[in-house]
Amino acid sequence: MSDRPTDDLERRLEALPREAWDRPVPPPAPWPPEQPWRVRAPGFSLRPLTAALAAAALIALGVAGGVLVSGGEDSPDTVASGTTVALAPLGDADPTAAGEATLTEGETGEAVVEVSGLAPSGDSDFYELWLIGEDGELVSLGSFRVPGSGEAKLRVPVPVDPSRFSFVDVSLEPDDGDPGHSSDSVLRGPTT
Amino acid sequence: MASGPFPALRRGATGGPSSRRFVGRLHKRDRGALDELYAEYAPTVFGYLVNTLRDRGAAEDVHQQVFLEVWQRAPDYDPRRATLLTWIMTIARSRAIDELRRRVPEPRDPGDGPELAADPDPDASPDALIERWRVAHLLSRLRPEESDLLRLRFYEGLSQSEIAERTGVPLGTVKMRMVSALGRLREMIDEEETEAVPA
Repeated sequence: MSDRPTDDLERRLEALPREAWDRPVPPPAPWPPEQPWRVRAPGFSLRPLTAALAAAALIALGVAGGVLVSGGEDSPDTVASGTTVALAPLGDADPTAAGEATLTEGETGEAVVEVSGLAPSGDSDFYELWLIGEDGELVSLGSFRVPGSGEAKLRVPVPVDPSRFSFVDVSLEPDDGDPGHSSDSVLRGPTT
Repeated sequence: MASGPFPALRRGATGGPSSRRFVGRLHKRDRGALDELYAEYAPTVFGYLVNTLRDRGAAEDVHQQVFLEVWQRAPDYDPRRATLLTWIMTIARSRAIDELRRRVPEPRDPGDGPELAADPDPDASPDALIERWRVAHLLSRLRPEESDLLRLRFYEGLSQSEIAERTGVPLGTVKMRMVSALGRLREMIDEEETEAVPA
């Protein structure tokens, strides 16, 4: 035991801020839940028509070739280190909404994502970043909130090989505790 | 709370075999270990950031940065240099200071310096608050009946007689539990401060 007087400890306890006694609930961890690729939202699948429409939208926006691969020598069928994926609006998203995701591989693989033009997050919803495989396989990379500016930048770990996936997707998720995809995508971009 | 789900964490980073095993898992970025670490420390880190930044949105952003950094640096964590609590709170403090500095415009000339340097509330500085939150975190490790008692005494400001009256617990028991709770908290603080040698 310390020989410091108990009064010192009592003073430290009295000085604690209110939040220390009623600690606020933290947001979800920035890393995806364990083995998230086994989690699939009921009824959600990547429909070929949706993929085609997304690709068409990208072409219309002139960013169909916007998958920028470092070095430019990689096969278009793979996602190379440092791949940058342009994200275009989907669904009810503002037509001016846009984003960019840069994926790096390796032991410390990560995704750096910048989005703009998104509706600010409310008290009961948040945005979530996903990798989507051709067969509808889903991997959650993390969740984030968008402030009033409509812009956000995040960096999240990527625990899987991104070359196995066809799309980078941003969804709007209700805060309902369901870890699956809401099927309400607002941004998406093809990785190839 | 002492019998909670994360005994390896609650015993301290250097406290025993189970803690060493936990650090080993952390070094391998074991997802389960990271989840345990998050469950244990995220409420304290987030509370500290909300308290320091006074902006919940900014606190959420910085909170994400902190735990992403924890994830990235987990293989390099050295329990001989700092406890997990100290290590994580040091990262949180650094990122909070980064955020606060980002908000302050650069002075245009040297004459602007003194005004910008003025701190309206030294007790609300990241350094002052981090010590309080270290105590707050250790408080959360007490048994519920102990932390509830300290809450009534030091947050709600009740006397021991008033606590006895409100809870229906005999005054003698309240006094005994108060001494016990303060003693256990003091031991935890001493242990943390002894082991905590910030990098």
